[in-house]
Amino acid sequence: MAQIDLKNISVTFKQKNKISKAVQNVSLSIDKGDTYGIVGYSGAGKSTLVRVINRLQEPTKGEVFIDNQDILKFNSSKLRNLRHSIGIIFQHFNLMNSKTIKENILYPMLGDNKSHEEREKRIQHLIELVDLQGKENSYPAQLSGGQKQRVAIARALANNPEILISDEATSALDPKTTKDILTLLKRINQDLGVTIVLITHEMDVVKTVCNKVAVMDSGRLVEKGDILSIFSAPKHPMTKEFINTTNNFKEATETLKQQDYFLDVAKNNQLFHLKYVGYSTEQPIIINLYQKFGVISNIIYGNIEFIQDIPLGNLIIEIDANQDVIKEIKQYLLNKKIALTDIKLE
Amino acid sequence: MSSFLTQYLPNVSQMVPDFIQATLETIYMTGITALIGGILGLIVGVLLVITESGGIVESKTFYNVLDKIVNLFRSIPFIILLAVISPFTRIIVGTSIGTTAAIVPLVVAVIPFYARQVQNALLDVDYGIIEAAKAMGSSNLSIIFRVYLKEGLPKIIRSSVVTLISLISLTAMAGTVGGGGLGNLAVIVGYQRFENDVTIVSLILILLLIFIIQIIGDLLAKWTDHEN
Repeated sequence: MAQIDLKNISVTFKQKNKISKAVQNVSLSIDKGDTYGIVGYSGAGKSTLVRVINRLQEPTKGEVFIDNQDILKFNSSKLRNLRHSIGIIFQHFNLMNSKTIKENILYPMLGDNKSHEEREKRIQHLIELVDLQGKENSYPAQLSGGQKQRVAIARALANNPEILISDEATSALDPKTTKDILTLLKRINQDLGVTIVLITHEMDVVKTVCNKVAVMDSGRLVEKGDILSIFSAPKHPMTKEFINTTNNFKEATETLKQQDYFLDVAKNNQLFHLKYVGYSTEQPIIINLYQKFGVISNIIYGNIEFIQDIPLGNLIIEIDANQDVIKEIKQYLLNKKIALTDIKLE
Repeated sequence: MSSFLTQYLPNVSQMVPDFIQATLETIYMTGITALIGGILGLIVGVLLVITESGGIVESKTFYNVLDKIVNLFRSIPFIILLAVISPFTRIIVGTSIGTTAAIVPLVVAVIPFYARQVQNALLDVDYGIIEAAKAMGSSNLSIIFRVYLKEGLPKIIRSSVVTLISLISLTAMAGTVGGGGLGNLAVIVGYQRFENDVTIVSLILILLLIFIIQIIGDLLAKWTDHEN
């Protein structure tokens, strides 16, 4: 049984005769230890959906189970307890400006029955975890964006939560800081076993930290799955669009369009998109094609990335052969789980 | 020194004790009103913020009623409020004349004024921070005291200064209808008896009070503001 189970969630907002369906009939299961990415453009309903997990947003329809408990039936004190076990970090950090870093991290611990010493120890531990030693008595305004997000992470972890929600936590940060924060999140997931639900509009972020991903478009969940299968075989156009943002494949084809030579090659049906996952390509493909079929193939563009340590290759190749041979080649490659599809440039 | 006083401030020099008493009366009226009106205004301001749509205990009806009441009382010119409210004042303090009696209309005038100021100060608190507190399992009371009032404190202090300054000008008005204080001295003695120097010295004392409030307020606001 999943740790977080969202069943047929719909959220509808009514504003002066206008009804907007922010989330429409979305079901999602998140297992303990997952780093679940939820991707979509702004307005896709990601934040609204995720806020249902701790009932910052009440769903109009549907059920929410956390550790098999129907949290929509919780009264306010039980709900507050639940919220203690779900940390959340935000795009704009949402730290309290009037409190020091230490006081900010202390805030979620107020009201528990720990002693002063225990809290102090916990704060110190968290400050070390997020690498902010020496900043204890600073105020948020004195910190950089990345440091503020670290404080927010420490605060979110104060009560040893089992779930951490990250709502566009890196969207306001520069690329280097983003990387640092993502590394920290990954470490929290691996070392502390905290389940992470991560909202983002950047597929790169998902690629870096997530093991599963769901894609949302206009309130609907259009595709979900483990990250490797989503990246290697995206089905929905929206998913494809997002994946294309993480490589330069689209730009490469655009560049080829500018050149008459490649337009001719494509016209002759000799330009291909070769795609492989994992080490299914231990044998050198290009040489094999030459030895088996006597054809010369030429790599024009290549993008190989590692998704969870597994290589995922997208190549554009030109194969100088007639269509009968190409048919055979396609079959041959298919048996090796390598997809070869024609590229049309017009 | 005394020749200077008699030469340029002929009337003032004769009534130094009156000035001392009037100043104390103004401080007394301002202080007590600020205390009572401040607490009640703060409560009303907080209620407006938390019951507003999107607030932590949203209640459209409650908000609308309270909002209209605040607007209503803010619309009444103070000089008319003084007259209208006098029967009520008599019930509360037993008389409708005198410094203590002046406090009742002052409080009634200050509550809606301060409530609006507090409301604006608290609305400036980033809603994201409130949401974060909610997400951390904070109770509503904890959000009000530990988040809203703490985060909004520098702005509340600044609004309090504005309110205190308006309050002093209201005490001057209340003074003219028997409340005493520097306003009374300036108008009833200085203006109506053509003793100009009395009016001017009263004014200077009022300005001095305002100046002191402004300086203390600015210091406190600066001291509590960690946003920049």
